[in-house]
Amino acid sequence: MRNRALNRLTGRILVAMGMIIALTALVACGATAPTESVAPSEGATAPAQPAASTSGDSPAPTAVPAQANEAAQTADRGKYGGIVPMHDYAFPNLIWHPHEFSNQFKNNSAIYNGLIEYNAETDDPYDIRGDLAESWELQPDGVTYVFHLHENAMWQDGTPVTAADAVHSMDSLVNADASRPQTLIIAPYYSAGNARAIDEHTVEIQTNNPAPDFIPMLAADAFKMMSKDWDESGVDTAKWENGMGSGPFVPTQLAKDVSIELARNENYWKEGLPYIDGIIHYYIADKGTAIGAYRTGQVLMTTFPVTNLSNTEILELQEAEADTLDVYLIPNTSLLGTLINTTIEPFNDVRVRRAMHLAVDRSEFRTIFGGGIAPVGTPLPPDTWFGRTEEEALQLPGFRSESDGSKHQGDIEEAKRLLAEAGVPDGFEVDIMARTAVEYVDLAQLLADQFRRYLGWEATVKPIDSATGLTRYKEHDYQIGAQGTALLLGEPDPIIGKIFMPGGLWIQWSGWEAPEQFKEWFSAQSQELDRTKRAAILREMEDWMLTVDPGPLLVYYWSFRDQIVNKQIQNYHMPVSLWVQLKHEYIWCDPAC
Amino acid sequence: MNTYVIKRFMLFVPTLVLVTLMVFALMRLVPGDPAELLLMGFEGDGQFTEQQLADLRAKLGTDRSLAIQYLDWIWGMVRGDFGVSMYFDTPISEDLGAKLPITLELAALALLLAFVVAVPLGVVSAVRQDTVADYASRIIAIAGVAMPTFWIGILVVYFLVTWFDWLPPLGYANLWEDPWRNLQQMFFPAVALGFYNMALVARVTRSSMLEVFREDYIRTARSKGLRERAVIVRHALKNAFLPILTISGWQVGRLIAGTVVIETIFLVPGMGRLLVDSILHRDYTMIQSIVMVIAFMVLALNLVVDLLYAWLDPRIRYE
Repeated sequence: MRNRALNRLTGRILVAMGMIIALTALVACGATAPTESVAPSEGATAPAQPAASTSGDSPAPTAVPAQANEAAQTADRGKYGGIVPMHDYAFPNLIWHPHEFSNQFKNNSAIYNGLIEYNAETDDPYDIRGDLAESWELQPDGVTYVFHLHENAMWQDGTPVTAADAVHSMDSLVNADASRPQTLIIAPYYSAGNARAIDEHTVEIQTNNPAPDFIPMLAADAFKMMSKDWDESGVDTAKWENGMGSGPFVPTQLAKDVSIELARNENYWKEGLPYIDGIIHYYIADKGTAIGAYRTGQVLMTTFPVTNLSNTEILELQEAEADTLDVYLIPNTSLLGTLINTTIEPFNDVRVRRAMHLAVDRSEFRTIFGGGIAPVGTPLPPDTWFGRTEEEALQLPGFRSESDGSKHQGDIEEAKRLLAEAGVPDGFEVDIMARTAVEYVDLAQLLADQFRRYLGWEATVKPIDSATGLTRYKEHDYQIGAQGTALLLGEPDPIIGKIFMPGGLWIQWSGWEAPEQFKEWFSAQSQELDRTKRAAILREMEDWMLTVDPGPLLVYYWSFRDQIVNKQIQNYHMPVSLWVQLKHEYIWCDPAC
Repeated sequence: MNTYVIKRFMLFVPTLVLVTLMVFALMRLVPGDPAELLLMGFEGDGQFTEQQLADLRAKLGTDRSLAIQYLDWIWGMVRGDFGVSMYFDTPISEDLGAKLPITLELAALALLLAFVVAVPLGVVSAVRQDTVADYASRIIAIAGVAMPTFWIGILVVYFLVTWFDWLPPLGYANLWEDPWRNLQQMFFPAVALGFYNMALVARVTRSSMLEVFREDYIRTARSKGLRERAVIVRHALKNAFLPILTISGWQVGRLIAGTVVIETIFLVPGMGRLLVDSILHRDYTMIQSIVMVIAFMVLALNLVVDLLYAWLDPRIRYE
């Protein structure tokens, strides 16, 4: 009798547990599986490959043609409707003024237009065309640009976009009194007061000097136009709900730490655009969850080309989901390397820095973290109009390998000789600071291992939380650190300016001082309108870094930034940088999303 | 009883004061200036002048002496004002009001699921001692205790994606507005969060039941001819419940702490995730407020558990 009772009880418990398992399955299967509608569309094109060479592709400022906006001609091509869920790896702070930087323009770019934009409808990622401006010309003086605005352009409150708005926006972009004037990055080219309205729809902008990078910079999504009246109306323009631009989408819901939503601007002045009804940026910080969201079709594309996944992880995802996902690898706007504190011994000795440069096995870094395809870490990105070819770079000391792929012995010998000359022949203890962000800790482990193997250093990795690491960089309270950076554009000024020039962030953190000759080279190339001559100056700068002083930065490789796009999304074209083509007015869903 | 409760409440005060001192001091000891981090941005790329930094410090109040900052914060809390988030510049009480119920729902669901599975599992394990069912139950329990919560969370996501091609819906649906969607979003985080508790409670239930089975009153109950079910449920389980309750009481604190990781993995917009983000941003005011809320909740829950003892066991009296 007791056994029967026990059996009955056990049976009931098993039934109860079975019901829980069934409930689990029910919950899991209850929702419509989004992937069912994510069949690869016919005719979907393979992702564009990184441009092998950009020489001559970038708009030459000496001969800027008047370019018509093609929006109206293309508007009847796509399919309308649907909300596109996007993956954003970090929730921004809540300051939404378009000219104050946090990295918020990844989310609010679609509310605004720029004067010009990178053409989001072509496979040429360097193609720049008008946005609010119908056309523009560079005057013979080499510093005056005249922009002709679309006469039908209007703000989302129905008022027309005028030249006065453009003048106001340009000055606002370089307003040093703003609380977070990160868009001062355009300040080397433009000073407040140097723009004027010629008439209602024509604006003239003077640059400080001839500046070949001005137009490529201005076309980035960091430099949006905003309504003068709205900005001066007393409305708190830092609030999400008060975002008011001329762009294809308007701000709707914002759920902190969860999602940011935008809806179609029904009165958008570009006829027929946008195609989709809205965008939801979902904030997913965890890598595994993000991969799951892409695989299950819960997100259809990345908000902007940063996913938090390493190049190797992204390639694995692409291989696993080749039928449903395209992965776009954007070169030259991000790098991973070691930042060196040049204010302390022995790193203040150029011979030690050169030894480090020679001893690092970049090939190993590229294989393990760069998916074997990331461009080698020359000071200037390889295979660009201003850099060496990768083939050429791989013959250079510090970058070359033995025929079996191992580290070049000659480089190790030379590194040891330099260290002996610097008075540290037997190695020393070195702490490698690694912020617990992206793959810094893993990169630091490999670097420590290489230093032990090749130089006999007692290298120890010191993982540290991100905020503490940033503070220690600023206070020069570190020896060397695994660090990467993303650049606004893969053009010479943003790259060299940020890493090697006074005022650049890495210079502040490393304490390195560029010699006068280097600064003169930078200034000269920055103002050189002839691209061939400019490339020659840049080559001199790079040669100096390769043979004399590698500076404060040991680049392992130029990391691809990655944009994952479900094949359901149509008319997406690879951007040239992380910070362009964020308006999403030309994409549509097929099948419907 | 009332005197006891009042005394316990009085003891909250020194404990909470100690917590305020610890959280305030620890946050200031850890490197990282909220104003600098705001200006530098998440990746430290921001450019700013020293004047802008000074202005922001003045706005955030971090330029004042530590004593003034501390007293200002305490005075605010005494008045029920948690202040403003340094990072988001929004009232903290709004955030807590929105996120605390989500975390509580998650913790409650995790506890419920843990109990629903653990108690039967422990009972079966005890009544079927040294059988296949017992071994299976013990394996599950040991695995649950051995595996950290974050790992379980990752495994759950992995299996959901791999086996079901499914993830909980993104975003957040309020329990009262869209209960089905809410259940889809909260069920698996609760499973992952409650797994450890389930394992622990199952183990304690088993050992407690085995102990009670050896008591004379169980033998008496059986010899009286009571049905086995009645013996197990009414006599054994009820008496075995005190240790289970004890373990569950202090597990609640652990459960709330566990939400920090689980909410991040499953995108649950609760207080745990807010705490993680606030630590990354050095949002002092937000961190302090969240820690205080958690500390108060743990104290209050411990009190509730102590009171439940008296309810379950009439022999226990509080003076």
